[in-house]
Amino acid sequence: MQRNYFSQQAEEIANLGSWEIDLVSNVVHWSDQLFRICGYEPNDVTPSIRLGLDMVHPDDREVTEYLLRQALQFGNDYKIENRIVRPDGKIRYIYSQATVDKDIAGKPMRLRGIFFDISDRKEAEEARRQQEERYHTILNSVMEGFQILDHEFRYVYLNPSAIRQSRYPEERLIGHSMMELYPGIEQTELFQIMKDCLEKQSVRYQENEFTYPDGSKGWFELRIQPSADGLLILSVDITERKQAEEHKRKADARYRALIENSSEGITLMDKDHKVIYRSPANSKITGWTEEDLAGKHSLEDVHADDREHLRLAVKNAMEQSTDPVPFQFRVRHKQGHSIWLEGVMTNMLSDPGVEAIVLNFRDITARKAAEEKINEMNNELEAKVIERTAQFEAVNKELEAFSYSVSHDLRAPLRAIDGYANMIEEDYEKLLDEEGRRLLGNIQQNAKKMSTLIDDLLAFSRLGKKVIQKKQLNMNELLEGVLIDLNKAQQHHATILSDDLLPAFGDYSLIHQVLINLVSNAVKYSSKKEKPSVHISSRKEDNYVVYTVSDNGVGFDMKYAHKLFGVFQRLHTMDEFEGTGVGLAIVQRIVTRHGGQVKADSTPDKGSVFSFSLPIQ
Amino acid sequence: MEHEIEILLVEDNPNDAELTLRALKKRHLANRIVHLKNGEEALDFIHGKNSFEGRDIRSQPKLILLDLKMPKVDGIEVLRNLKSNDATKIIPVVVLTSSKEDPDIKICYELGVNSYIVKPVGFEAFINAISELGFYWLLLNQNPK
Repeated sequence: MQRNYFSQQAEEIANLGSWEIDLVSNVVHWSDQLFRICGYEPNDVTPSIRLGLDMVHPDDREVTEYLLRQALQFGNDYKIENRIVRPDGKIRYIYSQATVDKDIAGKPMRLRGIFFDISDRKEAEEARRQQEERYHTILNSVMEGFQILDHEFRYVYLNPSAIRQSRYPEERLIGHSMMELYPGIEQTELFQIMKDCLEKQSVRYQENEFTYPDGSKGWFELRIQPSADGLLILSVDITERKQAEEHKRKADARYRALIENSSEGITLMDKDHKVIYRSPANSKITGWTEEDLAGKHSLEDVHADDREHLRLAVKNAMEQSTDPVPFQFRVRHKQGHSIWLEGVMTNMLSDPGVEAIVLNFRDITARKAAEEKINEMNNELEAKVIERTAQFEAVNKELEAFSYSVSHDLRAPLRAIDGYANMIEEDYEKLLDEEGRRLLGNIQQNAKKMSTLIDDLLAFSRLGKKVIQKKQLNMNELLEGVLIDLNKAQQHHATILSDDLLPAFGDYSLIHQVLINLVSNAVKYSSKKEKPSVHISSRKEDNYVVYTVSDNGVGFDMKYAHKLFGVFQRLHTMDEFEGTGVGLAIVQRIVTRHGGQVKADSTPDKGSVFSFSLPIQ
Repeated sequence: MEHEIEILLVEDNPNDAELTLRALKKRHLANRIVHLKNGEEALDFIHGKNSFEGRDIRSQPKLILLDLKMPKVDGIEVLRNLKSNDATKIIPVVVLTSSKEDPDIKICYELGVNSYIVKPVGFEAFINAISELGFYWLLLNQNPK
């Protein structure tokens, strides 16, 4: 019993049941613990082979029954792992082992077995399996690469990310070495690190730029650590991050280069008006180095008259960040002279990349000097213009007074000369002989001529003052009027023909005057011909209309053409043709004031062609 | 007792005066004419002052021929005086001047001149102009009485 008690204790602690089948008596015996394993209290039920088999999980029953039969019939021992279903439905995992005791003839007489509840172990195994599955799923889905290498750097395991990073299919990797797949890797720093980790059993974190066999590169963040198999490597592809960093680094370098090499001064100021950065151009412009400026008040070298302006600009910039604030001020150069700076300040305090008021400025001293010079010159010029205008006005007044006096004071004696000559003629004609009368006649004639001269001269000077009022002119109608006036004023026998004339744009009375002068000249200078003829025509030339008056008169020598349009210039004597020499001068003055040109062409004795052009608009 | 004056000629140029008188004579209009050499005398005459002290100023000329350019008191001043005085503003005043360039034309009309004549340079034209003038103002024109 003692032995039996200990045996029961042991069974209970080990959760181990035992059973026996006496094949002679067919008695089945279960130990107490076996009852408990099967979900009963000891001796709740009567143990039997049938009961034992019925407990077995249906899926396992066939195998179990087969093994039992083999044991009973042929005396074969067996071991099996199967499941039983307890009366309450709970499933237990059981390891059972059976031994057959035989008689001398070898016939089975008794079956003995143990019944070991391995459910806890099974559950732990299952939990572990699930856990592994979870790990597997994670390893399959994470972005991080996970690979295991053996001591010869052969790939043992790679998760999908590591396979992706390797750029080889899985089947090319497993069992193959790094050296095979990445020839030349032995020479790399990375390989040395891996070797180190293996040898020293140490862990390394490393950022590495990896070069693939095709020459392309990728950046990886690696954790290399020894493992049971050899090496375990965790790898994160940081190529994009590295590229972005590189891009930013390059951009920063570019901007820095731009700022530091710019001839424009750039200064950054924090919200407390403290200068936090000065580009190198600052000292190039002002002469002051960083050391010179240390401890100086920022307005110290600014011209006293400009400090308020600068303060206001800063205040304005501090208050808003939308508009750059322009500024212009004088500052003392290190060498003592004053220079002008001009620029804008932009509030970028809220820009996290800047957090400053940015001042961009340049030296405009030379421009300022030029501006000052220009101002000075302008002022001088203005003064000169005023002076000249005054002089001009004075001259003009004198001229007016002169023409007034010419018309007034020259006429009175002329009137007297003519008057007294006439009185002599009226009162004393009978006392004069023929010569006396001829001389008297000459006095009267010259008085008349002088009167005409005075009139023409006045007409010419009046032209300078007249305001031109341009409008569209029907030149055919205008010419008609001219011919009527002409026929009234002088007797002639010229044939005057005109083409259909293009309209002109000019002052009616002035263009009328031009036509009168030219046509009457043509009539006058052709009057000695047998069949005098005058022809008026027009044509368009670029933006001008050109009118031509031609005659078949005496013409003139072209070598005197330059004298034609001068005042009082004549190419014929009074005996040949009468005239004062003012008509063509008037023509030229009118046409020039219209923005046109006059031209004359002639062959002596063949006739002349006078033309004038007028702008279309 | 003086004759009733018909024309007062105010002209400093003796030649012009002679020509004017000759022209008026031709029309027989020069019988009752007074020729004065400057504006001062003219005003004295009209207003009966100084050398004309005592002249019956109820008797005024029917026409004043007035030259503009004269020493001392010029024609404009005479005109202004006459036309701003109720007693004399009804007397017709014809300004005779040498040139149409004269900037005084406008002033004369503003002051109320009755006529503004440019003296022609030619003798015949001058004679004609003056005689027509005298004929018109003395014989054709009806003066207020």
